[in-house]
Amino acid sequence: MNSPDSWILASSWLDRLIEAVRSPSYNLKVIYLGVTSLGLAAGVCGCFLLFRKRSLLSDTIGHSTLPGVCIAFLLYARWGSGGKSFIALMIGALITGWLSVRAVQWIKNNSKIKEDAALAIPLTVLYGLGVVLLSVVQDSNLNLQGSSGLEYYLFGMVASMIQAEAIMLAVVSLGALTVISLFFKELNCLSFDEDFVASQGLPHRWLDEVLMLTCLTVTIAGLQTVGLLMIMAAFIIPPATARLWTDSMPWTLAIAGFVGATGALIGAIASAVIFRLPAGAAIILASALLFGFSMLFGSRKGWVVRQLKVARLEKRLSENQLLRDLFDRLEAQQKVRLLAGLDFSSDLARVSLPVHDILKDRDWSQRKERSVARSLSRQNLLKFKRGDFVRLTTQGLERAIEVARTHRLTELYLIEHADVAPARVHQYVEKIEEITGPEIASDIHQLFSNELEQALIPAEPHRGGDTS
Amino acid sequence: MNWNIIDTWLLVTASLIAMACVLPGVFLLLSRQSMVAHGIAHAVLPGIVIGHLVSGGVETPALLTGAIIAGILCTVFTRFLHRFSGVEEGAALGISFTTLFAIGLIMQRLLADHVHIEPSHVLFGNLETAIFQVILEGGGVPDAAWRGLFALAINLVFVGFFFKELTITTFDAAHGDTVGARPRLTYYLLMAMSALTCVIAFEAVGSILVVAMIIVPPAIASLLTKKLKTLVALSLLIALFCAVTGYLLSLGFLGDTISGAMGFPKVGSTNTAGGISVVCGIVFVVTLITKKLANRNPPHTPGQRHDTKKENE
Repeated sequence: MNSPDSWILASSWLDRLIEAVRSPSYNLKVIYLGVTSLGLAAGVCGCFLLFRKRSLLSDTIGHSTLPGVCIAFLLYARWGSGGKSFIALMIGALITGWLSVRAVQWIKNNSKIKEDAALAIPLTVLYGLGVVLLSVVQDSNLNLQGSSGLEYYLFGMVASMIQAEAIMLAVVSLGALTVISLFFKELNCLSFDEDFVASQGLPHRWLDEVLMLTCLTVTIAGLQTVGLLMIMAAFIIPPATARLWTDSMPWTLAIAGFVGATGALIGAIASAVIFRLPAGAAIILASALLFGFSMLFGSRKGWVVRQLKVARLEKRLSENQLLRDLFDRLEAQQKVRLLAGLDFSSDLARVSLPVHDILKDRDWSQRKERSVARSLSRQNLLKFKRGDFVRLTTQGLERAIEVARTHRLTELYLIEHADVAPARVHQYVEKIEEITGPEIASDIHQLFSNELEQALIPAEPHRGGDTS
Repeated sequence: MNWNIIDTWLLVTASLIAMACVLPGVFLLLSRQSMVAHGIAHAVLPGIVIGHLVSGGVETPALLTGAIIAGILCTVFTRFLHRFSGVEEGAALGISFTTLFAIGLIMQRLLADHVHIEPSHVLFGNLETAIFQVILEGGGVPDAAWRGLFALAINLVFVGFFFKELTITTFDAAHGDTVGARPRLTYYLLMAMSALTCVIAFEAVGSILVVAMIIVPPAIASLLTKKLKTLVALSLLIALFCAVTGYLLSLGFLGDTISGAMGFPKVGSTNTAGGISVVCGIVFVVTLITKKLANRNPPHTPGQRHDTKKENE
């Protein structure tokens, strides 16, 4: 910002931004309405494609519309009044788009060709047909009026959106959302378990058809106005973003709709502010940025959340390890009896234990030892004594017993039922401890109820021989 | 129809490119990554624009290098999104290539608006003009033919040299790791090969129709055989057949049939790449239907039992 020129440029950008947001011109309002409603509907519909691992179907549909558009154009030129009739082109696009959906299904049902190729083959073949038809349409011998620029049908021009188109987009989106909310429960089932839907006597084929037709209509409505690539991105990016935030179906739909609409709006505003910025591309990029943000901060699979989860788990594991080691030491000192009737109200808990000495077999840093012990003391499970000596509180002892019991029962289970060598079982259990909890421990206890009789805690199985 | 030297070169170039395309195609098809080719075809745009900005020209190796790097980046991003955030593979591909394409488009409009990278040119391709220019400028072997030959030769060498690695990686990457076939390296080499082929081919046939040549002939061959070597050989043959037939039909038959059916006057030749992919599609459908019909009343021979059992599943 050292030259005055760039100052003026920057301030004019800011002005334009404020203007685009606060008092958009009529044209801009039309564009906002169109792209936002399209983003919303495509985001919601895209969720169902994503759940069925068919995200790229919108790609196939989009490309397959080209022959339909050309045939419609030719037919309209021959028997209609000629020129680019919006309705005729749209019907043509719908027909070949639908054909491509059926073709994908047909290939998958009749051969061992996998989903990816089943999507790619109709896409390219129909597109190829479209290219051939396009060269017929644009042949100079035919000299058809309005044939030039027909290929731009696929690329769309957001900036030239007119009111009628925006209203059409809004109506189509509203229609799509209505259909989805009407059949929400059924579509929800269909996304996850097609066979279940069939077994419930619901017309699953018919439902599938409804869903595909809805996606098809939204795709084709968008093609003409915002272009092929943006409509694809609108189907794919928002649902994938939503999955980073939530597990639940209604929330996925809501977030996908929100991301789709927001991305579209941001992109449209950006393209109004920055000279020559193509709106379709800006919309894709805005959605992609929202996706990138969610990759970091999403509440379900975001990087931060996963890091926190790992840290929490690690902390809990370390705490359990320390408690167990303390318990082992108490046991070694014969301060705790293993049989039922365990009496820890007495002076058991009053024994002071040297943490550092107990942990010498684990290669923990001093810092880790201290922080784990401190965390336990904050939970009132142990008390610090002089030096590095600690004393378990009553709750602490209870929890230590629980932890040791779970650990040993799991070891026992692995030795008896999974044929793990006793010498190695300890390492195994340390690894899988994160998934074994008190519930599993009590299950295992049931399993061994005969052998253990009333023993609350079995002896450490891998040392062996000191229960008797 | 008068045949001349241009037609010969067109036919040769189309055949070379079609055959070059199926080599990566076979392995993409088998490792269920057919759409990757489609993704690469879009994702090369930012690479082309950057290549242009760096070199300042439009006909330099810089564009090719940029395009190949962008194509490989697309596959790296896809894998990253899939691994890092658990995004479903198709969606991950969709996200990475639409985003790269958007970036390319924005860069082109903001930084290199004076360069005419016409969407119709990139997306539909034009074999005719590619050849025609060279012939007008004084004959010899046209560049496009050389490039087709180059792509075919590189792909043949690559597939021949890494056949074992490619086979293992395609079918069982984990096993490949244990026997030292370096699946990740092989994977990225395959992606580089696909990107190179896409870029070379789409100058002639357009970025979307490349995918037809990459995927459809191997898909047809996969209906006919289960042996990998036969699959490769058969794909090459089918590609050659489709390219030749497609070219010949594009000279007039396809266009005349279509316009005749609609009651329009005859038209001249139509887009060659489009014609080739239409032929590919027809061959695919015919093969699939024939196979279905043949399986409907299977002769009771021991060899057929396996197939009919699969059919009933």
